[in-house]
Amino acid sequence: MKIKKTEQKITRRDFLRGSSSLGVASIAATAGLMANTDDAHAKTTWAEWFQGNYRLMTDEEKKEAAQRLENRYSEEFGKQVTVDTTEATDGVLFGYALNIQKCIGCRRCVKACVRENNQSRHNSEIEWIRVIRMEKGSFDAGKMDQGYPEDHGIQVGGNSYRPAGVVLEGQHYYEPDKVPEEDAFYFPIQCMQCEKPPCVKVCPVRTTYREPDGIVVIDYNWCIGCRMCIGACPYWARRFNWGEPNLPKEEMNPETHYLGNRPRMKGVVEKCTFCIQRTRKGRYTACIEVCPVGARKFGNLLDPESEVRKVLDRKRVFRLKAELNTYPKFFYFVD
Amino acid sequence: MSSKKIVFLTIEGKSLGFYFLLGVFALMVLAGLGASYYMEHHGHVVTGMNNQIVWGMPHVFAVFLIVAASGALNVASISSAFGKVAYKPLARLSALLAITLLVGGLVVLVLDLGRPDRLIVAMTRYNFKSIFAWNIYLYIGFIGVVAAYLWMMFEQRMNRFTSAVGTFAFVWRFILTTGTGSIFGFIVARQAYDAALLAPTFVIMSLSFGTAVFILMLHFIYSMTGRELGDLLVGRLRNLLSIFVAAVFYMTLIFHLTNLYGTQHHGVERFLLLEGGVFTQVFWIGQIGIGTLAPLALFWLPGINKSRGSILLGSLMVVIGGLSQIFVIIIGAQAYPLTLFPGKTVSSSFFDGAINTYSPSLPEWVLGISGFGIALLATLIAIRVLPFLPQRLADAQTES
Repeated sequence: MKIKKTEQKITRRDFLRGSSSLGVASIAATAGLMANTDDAHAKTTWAEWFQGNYRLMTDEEKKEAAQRLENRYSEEFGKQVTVDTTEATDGVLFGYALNIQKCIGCRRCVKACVRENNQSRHNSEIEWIRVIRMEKGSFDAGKMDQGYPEDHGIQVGGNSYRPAGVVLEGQHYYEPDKVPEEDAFYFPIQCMQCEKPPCVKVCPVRTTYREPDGIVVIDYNWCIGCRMCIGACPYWARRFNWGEPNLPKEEMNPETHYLGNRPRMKGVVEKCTFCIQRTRKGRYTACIEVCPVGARKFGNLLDPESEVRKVLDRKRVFRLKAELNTYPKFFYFVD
Repeated sequence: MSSKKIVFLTIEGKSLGFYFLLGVFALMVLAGLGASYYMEHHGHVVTGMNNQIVWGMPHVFAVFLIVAASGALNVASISSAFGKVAYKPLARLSALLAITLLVGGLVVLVLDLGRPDRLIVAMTRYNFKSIFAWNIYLYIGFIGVVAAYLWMMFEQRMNRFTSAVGTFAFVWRFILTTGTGSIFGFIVARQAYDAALLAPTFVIMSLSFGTAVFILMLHFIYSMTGRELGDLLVGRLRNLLSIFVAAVFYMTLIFHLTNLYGTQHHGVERFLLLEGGVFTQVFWIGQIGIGTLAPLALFWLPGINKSRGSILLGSLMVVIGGLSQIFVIIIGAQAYPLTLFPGKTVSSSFFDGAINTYSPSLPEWVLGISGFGIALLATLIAIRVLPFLPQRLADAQTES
C-alpha cells in the first residue's frame, strides 16, 4: 500500500459523509448478521414477534397474545391447547415448605414436574427440580492423620477425614435400586421464588419479574437469552433451552399458563413457577400431589390457616443461603 | 511538537496488499456470520456451554474486545485529557480503534445471545437495576462520545473543544470499564465473581490490553504503508504498557491473596490455582507466564527492551495473556460449582453441577475470532476513507 503524496484537508462535510457511510455500512452489516432466522422463528407470526412485554400488556392484549398462542400450539400439537392468563389473587402470597426429614429421594416429583410443565423430554439438564443425594459422613479413626479431605480443597477442621453427617459432594442423577438408600439423605432444590430475586435484578429487559402473589415468572417471548439470570441465581434453579425442546405431541399437557408451562422455544430460560397454571386456580402443584410421603407443603403465606403457615408456626424451619438476604419463599423443615 | 505541523492522510488502498487484507478480514466476518447462523439454527447445544458454564468462548473474545476498546483510547486521552502533545498525532487512530474494537466485541456479544433477533424489540424496555442493561447504554454512548471526539479532532473549527470532549470521553471509558467489570463483580452467586476488586481490575486490564492492541496496529499499519514510525514514540508506548502489565499483575495478586487469607474461598482458589485442569494451566501459562512475566522481561531487560521486535512480541503476548485472563475470570469462575450447602458442592453424571470441563466448539471459536475480523475490517475501511493517520511519525515529529 502507498500513501497519497498530497496533504488532505478535511471539511465537516467530508467528515460527516465519510463517517455516515461507515455508520450505514456498519448498521447494515450488523442487521445482516442479526437477521438469522430458522424454522421455529418462521412459524412465529409477526404479531407475536412484535407483541409487548407481557408485564406491561393491557388485559385485552394479554388475551390476544394468549389466543395467538392457543391457535399456534393447537395446530402444532394436534390437540386443543389452552393458554391461561389468570392473574394473581389479592391477599395471596404463595409459599412452599419441604420436610427434608421425610424425603426418600424417589424423584417422583422430578418426573411429575417434567410431565406437568411440558419440559423437554430425555433431557435431564432441563429438569426444574433437582433431588440431591448426599452421603452420610463419618469419622474414621484410621484416617486421623490424613487431616483434611482433598476434594476441592474444602477444609473441615479438626482431624476428621470426612465431616460427620454431611459429605463433600451430592449427586442428583443417581439411579439406585431402591430408595431410601441406607447411607444417604436427600435434599430437593428448585426455584426458591425469592422475595428479592437476584435473577430479576440482573435481567436487562425485565423479561423475568416477580408477580404480586410472589411467583417469579418469565415472559418467554420477551427473553433474549443472555443467561445473566442463570449466572446470578444462587440456587442453581434456572435452565436454558440449549436446543429446540423435545416435547412429543402425545405427551404435551394442553392446560397451560402464559407465564408457566406453555411450550418454550430454544434460546430462552425457564424454571419452576410453583405450577402457576394450577395454583392460581386453587390446585396443588404437581410435585406436591405426587409426593408419596407428604414431604411437600404449599399454601398462602398470608393465611394463618394454610398448610405452609402451620409448618412455619410449628416446625423447625430454615431457608437455604439465608445469608444472601434473597428471602426465599421456599422453606425447609424438620419435624 | 505543537509547532510542528502534522499531516494526516488516508491510505491509498489500491494495492494488492490492501485488497488481500480486505478479503481476509471480510472472510473472518463471513465465517463469524456462518458460525452464528449455525449456532442460532441448531441452538447453543452445538457449543460447549451448559447450565453451569453459560458464557463461553464468544464472551471471552467479546469482553476482551470491549475492554481493549476502552484501553485503545489511552493514547488519545493522554493527548487530549492530559495535554501530552507527543501523542497528539496518534489520537485519531486511537479513537478509531476504540470504536472499531467495541463494535467487534458488541457484535459477538449480540450474536451469542440465545435469541439475538429479539434484541431490537426487547431492548426497548430496559431494567435500570441490571448492570448488563447499564452496560448497553455505556457501550452505545461510548461510540457516540468517541465519534464526537473524532469530529472535534477532524474539523479545524471544532479543534478548540478537543480537550473538553477528550476529557469527557476519558471519564466515559473509565465508567464503561468499571461497568464491564461490575457485570461479574456484582454476581454474588459465583464464588470467583462477587468482588468489588473486579471493577478496578477491569479498568487496569483495559489500559494494558488496549495499549498492546494499539502498538500492534500502529506498527502493522505503518509498516504496511511504508510510513516512518520512530523508536521514541514506540518506546514511550512500551514504557506505558509495561506499567499497565505490572499493575494488572498487582491486582491479580491482591485478588488471590485476599481470597487465600480467609478459608471461605479456599475451595475456589485451590481450583483456579492448583487443580482446575485447563483453567489452572491457562492461568499460570497464559496469564502469568505469557501475559505478564515474559512481556515484562521483554520490556524491562536491558539489551532487548529497545528492540522493535521485543516490543511487538511483548505486545502480542499481552494480548494472548489478556484473552487467557478473561478466559479464567469468565469461564473458570463458572466451572467451579455453586456451593449450595455450606462447604459442599453438587455433582452429577452430566457434569452440570460438578467442577466442569468446558470444551469450546469450533463455531464458538470462529464467532469469537470474527470479532477481531469486524474490528480490523472496519479499521481498514475507515483509514481508507478518512485521514486518520499522520504521514510520518519519525522521532522528530513526536518529541515533546
